[in-house]
Amino acid sequence: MTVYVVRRLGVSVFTLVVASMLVFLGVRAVPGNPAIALTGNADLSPGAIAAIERQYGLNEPLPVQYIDWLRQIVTGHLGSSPVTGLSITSELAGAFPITLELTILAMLIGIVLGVPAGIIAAVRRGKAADYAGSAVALFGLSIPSFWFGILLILIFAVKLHVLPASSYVSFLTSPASNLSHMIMPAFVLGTGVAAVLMRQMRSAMLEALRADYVRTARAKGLPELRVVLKHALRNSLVTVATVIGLQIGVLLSGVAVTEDVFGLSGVGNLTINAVFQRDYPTIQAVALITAAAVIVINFAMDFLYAYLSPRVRVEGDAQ
Amino acid sequence: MSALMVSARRKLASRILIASTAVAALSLLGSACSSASAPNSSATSKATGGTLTVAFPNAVDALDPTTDTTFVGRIVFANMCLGLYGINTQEQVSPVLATSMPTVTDGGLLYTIHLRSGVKFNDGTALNAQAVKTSLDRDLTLSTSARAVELSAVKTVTVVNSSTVQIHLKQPYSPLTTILADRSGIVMSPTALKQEGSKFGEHPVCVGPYAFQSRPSLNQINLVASKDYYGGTPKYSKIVFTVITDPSTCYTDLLSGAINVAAPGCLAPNDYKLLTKNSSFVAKSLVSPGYEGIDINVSNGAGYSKPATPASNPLAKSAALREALSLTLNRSTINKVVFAGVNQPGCGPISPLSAYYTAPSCAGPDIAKAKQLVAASHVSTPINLTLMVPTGSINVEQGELIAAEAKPAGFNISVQPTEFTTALTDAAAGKFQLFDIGWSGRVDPDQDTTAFYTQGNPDDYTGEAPSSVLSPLAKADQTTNVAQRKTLYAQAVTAMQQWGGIIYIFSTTNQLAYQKSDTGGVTFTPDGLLHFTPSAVG
Amino acid sequence: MSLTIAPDPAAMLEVAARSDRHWWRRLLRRPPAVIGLVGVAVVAIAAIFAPLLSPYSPVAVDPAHFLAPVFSPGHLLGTDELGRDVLSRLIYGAQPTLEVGVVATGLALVVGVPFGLVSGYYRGAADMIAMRITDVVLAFPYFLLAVGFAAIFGPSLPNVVVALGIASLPGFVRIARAEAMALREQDYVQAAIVTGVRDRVILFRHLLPNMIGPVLVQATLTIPGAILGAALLSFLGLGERPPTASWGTMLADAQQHLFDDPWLAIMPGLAIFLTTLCFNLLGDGLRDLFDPAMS
Repeated sequence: MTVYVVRRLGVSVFTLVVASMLVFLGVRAVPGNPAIALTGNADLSPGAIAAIERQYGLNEPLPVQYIDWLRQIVTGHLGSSPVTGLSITSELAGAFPITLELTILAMLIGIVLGVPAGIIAAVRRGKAADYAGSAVALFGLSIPSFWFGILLILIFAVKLHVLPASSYVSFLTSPASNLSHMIMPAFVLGTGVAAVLMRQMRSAMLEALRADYVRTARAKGLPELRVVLKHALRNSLVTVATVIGLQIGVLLSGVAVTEDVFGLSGVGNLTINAVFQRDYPTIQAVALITAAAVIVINFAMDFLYAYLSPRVRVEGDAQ
Repeated sequence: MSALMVSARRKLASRILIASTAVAALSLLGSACSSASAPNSSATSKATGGTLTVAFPNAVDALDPTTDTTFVGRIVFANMCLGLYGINTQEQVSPVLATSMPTVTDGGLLYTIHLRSGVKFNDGTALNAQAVKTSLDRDLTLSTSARAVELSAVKTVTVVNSSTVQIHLKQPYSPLTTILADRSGIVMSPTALKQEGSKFGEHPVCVGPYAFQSRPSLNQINLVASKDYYGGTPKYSKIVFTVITDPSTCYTDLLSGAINVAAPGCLAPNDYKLLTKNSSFVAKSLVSPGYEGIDINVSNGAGYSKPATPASNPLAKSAALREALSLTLNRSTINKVVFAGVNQPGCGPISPLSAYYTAPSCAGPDIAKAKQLVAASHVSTPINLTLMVPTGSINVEQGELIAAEAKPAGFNISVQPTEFTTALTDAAAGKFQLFDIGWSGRVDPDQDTTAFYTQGNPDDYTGEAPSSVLSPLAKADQTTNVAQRKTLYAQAVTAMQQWGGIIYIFSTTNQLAYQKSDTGGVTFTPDGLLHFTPSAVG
Repeated sequence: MSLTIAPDPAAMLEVAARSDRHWWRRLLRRPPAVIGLVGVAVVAIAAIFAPLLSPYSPVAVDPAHFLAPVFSPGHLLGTDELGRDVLSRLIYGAQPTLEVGVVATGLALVVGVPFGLVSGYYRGAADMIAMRITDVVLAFPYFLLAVGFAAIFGPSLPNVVVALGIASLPGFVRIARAEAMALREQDYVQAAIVTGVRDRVILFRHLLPNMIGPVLVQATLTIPGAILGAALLSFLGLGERPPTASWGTMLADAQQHLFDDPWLAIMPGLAIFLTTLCFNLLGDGLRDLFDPAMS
């Protein structure tokens, strides 16, 4: 297992380095002068361009520029946005908690809804509960999250006046108010996660329940519930780890649009604004941080997966 | 440059739902403000009412009157940083911290201002002439000052005695009094200025019915009732300003009671319309000094910083074609369809409320005449044009409608949505053909006209106007006589229409809505500002 | 990026061997799959014959009849904020929707399958490279790719297609790789290798045809993901430029009329939802066919 983990760690670091190069080179791919791209200002005098070229070291060879850029980022100097003049670090610091909270709540809702539904569907295979659960999951898989969000706003905020439509209140300021604001967007995202989890969980449980050792346990006359629960626990953790690893990209994309629908000024909104403002340093920072987050989460999930699933350990070591 | 331009050209109608990017651009300009709370413990509550939560469409700069460039910043200042003058509900300049309008002598070169007595800053120190001089000098000299341009006619400020201050000008400049009714006229506490320096915006102290308490995040500002205010007991113990960039959120939050007041720009026009029919809410719309129009790139071909250069689009060469395009527009249809009828169709830059307003001729729609003009120009049709609009559904829809109306006359207009700040930068750089954009407007007509027709000014997208436009504008700056100025502006507006560099579409309006139970606590002035009781303006 | 995780390759292999030429007949015996197939056909017909089916031009502005309600005379589904016919816009909106779903998936398939095939067959260095590329692609959520392309080249539909295509690549690489690895161990393939049949022949004559089933399932389940992704990106303004009718942009425009005309938002969302649902039903049906153990 150690070998496996070390291998995965090496792969993750490698992926991170390549991803950072792509992010770095992406801005250089912008048509026109990189000084204009970096400042978003199309109306620069030759003197101003020269000054920016000096400031960003644009006359240095690309590898040198890349190393400089990397060094700045590692030391927490993401630079300042050419559009707003503000430190990107501080902008991200304001937006990040919202996105993080939304993502975590969505995950929790997804797990709470998806895992039990998958287990029940597998155990009651071919029965009404299975069909109902599978149908709901299929709906959850197919519904556009942003549209679902709009429907919820129409129903709960406009017709019923139950929940506030949005605007973010810090959890530290008022936990109750914070949750009442976050519940709808988190639910919208959570249903998508739940749908995938339910389907995966159902497959994993079906496979587990077919395995020889389960049949043996049943033959031995162990209570059905105990047999199911025993396998349910490990399976659910493995499934959750797999799904999170595979779905984190989709989830983060969904977070961006959900923030937009519910008017939350998180990282997604920041990114969209940055695109329209041609604020390349901010886009670079967000892209790098998101890629890094995905890689780290995937590594963590690999680790968890290896820990939980003995088969992987063996296969991984044998590779 | 870009920051100034954002401040300068603010499009009220661009408060849009999806890509509320303009909003963010403005909002992020000022996060230098930290979240520390005010050390000012003297400003405690003695008020009768509770907390009033007011929603803005976008975040405020640093709360520093010298550097602020945001419209929403002015709403905050209207309640905690009063100025020498203010704009009253009749869109007139009226004295606030001054006792009367300034005495202008020396052929318009010397302004003498007398101060109200017994006025205290919210830190308990007294307002005097020296404080006024300190504030104005800061506006003139601070390197990050956004006021220096509008005060560029000022030579020196002198203290005559503790309650009289004199402003000496380099040349006569009649808009000065109106400028002193905006942020340039705000008097900051010299004690706080000394203590905070350039970080004054983090703990601003001025004269006002409410005092700055804290700014826990970029998107929230807390004010508390001031105990030092000269003008009476504040109605609310606390005012919370919060930012809601999404108009539908603003609407639902108002319905659910999460906010009490939706400030101008917060609500979409349709939602405002719905509130006018809702008996639990007060919804008010006031014609603002602002306008909306289509800027045509006539001679800004090389960018504002270069000498006037003819642009390459077909309209640049032909005033007749510009007139033809103008004749295709059905202003009242655009207003009804896109803006739920809240704007006031109009054909000039000066607000109908202004003392300097003369109703301009406003022809059209007249497709037949437009077709004639196009035919007479011998330009082959369809005439292909690109109309830049700020991103956002409302703006794009307006562009589509303009394109549809212009089509029968032979114009083939494609709409190009461009992020707000980028659009402003591109427009200033001359990289556009047509640009649908608004201006939030100022009470003095000079600030709604001259800068937009003078090559070299970053707000001027259309290029250099002919002297038939510029010379009456220049003359109007030199005189303080209202009747004379009014005649000069009427001349200028007629010349603008003949030249056709900017096709005006609307006088814009500001919408305010609040719960009926809050009635009586809010004074709404045509400049779009909200004054919470006790208001300093009448 | 597909929302669905690939079926177990081992089971799939078993199935591929069993699959007969009449699999589609068995598909037609499954009601959910039939519903899916019919739905997909309806959307395809709407997209192809939009000019014939639409009562109006999707971009014809009619200020005299703006925001007409549903079932108005002449406008079955009403008109939008500029008086454009909603039904016509919905019909035309099927075009970009299908286009993005199919082209992005096709792109991922055409690039991903050969990649996976080669890496699974040769293993070693080829496999290493393919897997590392997949890792890097997986590090960028499709939203981020689309944002990057929009930032570099400006927002446009082709950018959205390419972003979604790239994001869908790993799924196809993995499927083809797993299939190739498993098939390689089959007796007939081993025999071919021993008798010196050229690699190219083995790859394209023996391996590729035998993985059509799983690849088809992956494709059918990737399309709805791509459709959702494209709608999301259009909604955010990163896709089509107005006045083109697309369901995502219609939904975005409808947001400002959420309270005075909610149907404007409900209808395009429903179109996206039903289309994705039908593709998922069809994909599930196909998968069940190739992998009955999971049904």
